[in-house]
Amino acid sequence: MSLLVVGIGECIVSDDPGATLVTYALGSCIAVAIFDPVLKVGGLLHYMLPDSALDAEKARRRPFMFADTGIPLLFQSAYQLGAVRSRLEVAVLGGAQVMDTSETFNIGKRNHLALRKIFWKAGILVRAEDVGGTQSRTVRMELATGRIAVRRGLTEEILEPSGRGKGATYGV
Amino acid sequence: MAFNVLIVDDSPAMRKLIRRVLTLSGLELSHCLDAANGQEALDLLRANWVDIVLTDINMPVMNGEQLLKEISSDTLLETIPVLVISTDRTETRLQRMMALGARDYVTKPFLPETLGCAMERLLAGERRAENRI
Amino acid sequence: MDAASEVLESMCFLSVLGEAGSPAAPNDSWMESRLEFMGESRGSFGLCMTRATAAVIAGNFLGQPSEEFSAEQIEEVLCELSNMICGSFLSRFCKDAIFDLTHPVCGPWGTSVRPVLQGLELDEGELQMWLEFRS
Repeated sequence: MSLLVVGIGECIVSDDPGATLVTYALGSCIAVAIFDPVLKVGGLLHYMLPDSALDAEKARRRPFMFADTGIPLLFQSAYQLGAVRSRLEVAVLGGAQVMDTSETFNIGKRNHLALRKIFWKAGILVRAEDVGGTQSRTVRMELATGRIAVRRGLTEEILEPSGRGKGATYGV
Repeated sequence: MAFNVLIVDDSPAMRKLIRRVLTLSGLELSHCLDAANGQEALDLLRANWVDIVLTDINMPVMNGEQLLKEISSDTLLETIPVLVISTDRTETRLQRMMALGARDYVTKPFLPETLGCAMERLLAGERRAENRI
Repeated sequence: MDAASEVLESMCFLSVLGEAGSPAAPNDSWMESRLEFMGESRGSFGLCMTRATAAVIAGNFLGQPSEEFSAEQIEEVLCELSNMICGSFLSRFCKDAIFDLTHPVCGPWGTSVRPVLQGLELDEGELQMWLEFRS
């Protein structure tokens, strides 16, 4: 079993069924996990900010830092490994408000809204979502099964894909 | 098996949004019909085969509550499942619509996935009923 | 503001940043949508915004580039927005009372008398709304 760590502002896509993708301490960042249950191709993106227009130069160097540049690249990378869009099961995690709750620009929420807008315009529906709150999350996804484990504090929840491809639903 | 759906809402924008959600949800849809009020919906129901009705409540001419009463009192229409989509989230309205025979109730605003899941549950029920016949 | 936030976030993917500090004065280049409600109380609700903000909202709501919309299509989205915000507000404010809402009417900002407007600053533009109970 190989553990592939996705850092902040990074993305890994793999077709190795022995791989587990993991990303730590999401905080206000969002992790997008995608999985093709037929080919066992999966990807995990950990982005920090909603909009690359804030820093176009940085977005060129580090596109996975931003929702609008990172999310399309995540999907394109999966397609290059043979993943089929209609089969992809998409899970979204993170977007917590971990700082002072009087913070005006709730970046976790803005990261989430940016994702929702991108997905709606692209016609992608999310199969599972665990966002918001105040606790930071750690996420890992096994490519053998597409199973996702979400840890918040001392608790861990498992999201199981049904593996049916189109129309499949993650359970919680 | 592919399903025929009737969307009833006085808002063309909401009807368009609902259509998009249904398409993106990967449901097996054959035809998607539109009506802007309960009377138009009844006319369509009496002229077309419809498997599921999605209806708003607040509409001119005939509202969703009146439409549901008409559907549930018509022997040819009473078995058609109705899903209510409305801004009204009061317990009173919810109970009234369920008592009139609505199968489920989605409140506006809603996430597309919420509507998609409600439709999947409804269609799963219809598929099970089909298999029993 | 909570009702507006919920609708704008979940259906238009826009954050409400707070009350507008110095709300702009609407003029006839703005768009307005208004409706009446009746039930335990009667009254009216309206919202208005610039055409540019309305186009952004319509694009986000329908998931299409806003340049593709006609003025009529943008008005249709604004009507539904006012329906949802008003309905959501009445459900929160008047707990278990049932209200009937009329079909919203949308058009350019007109000269009718309105109650005090509440301005909300969005991350893209500004929205102003008003609510009046008459009984």
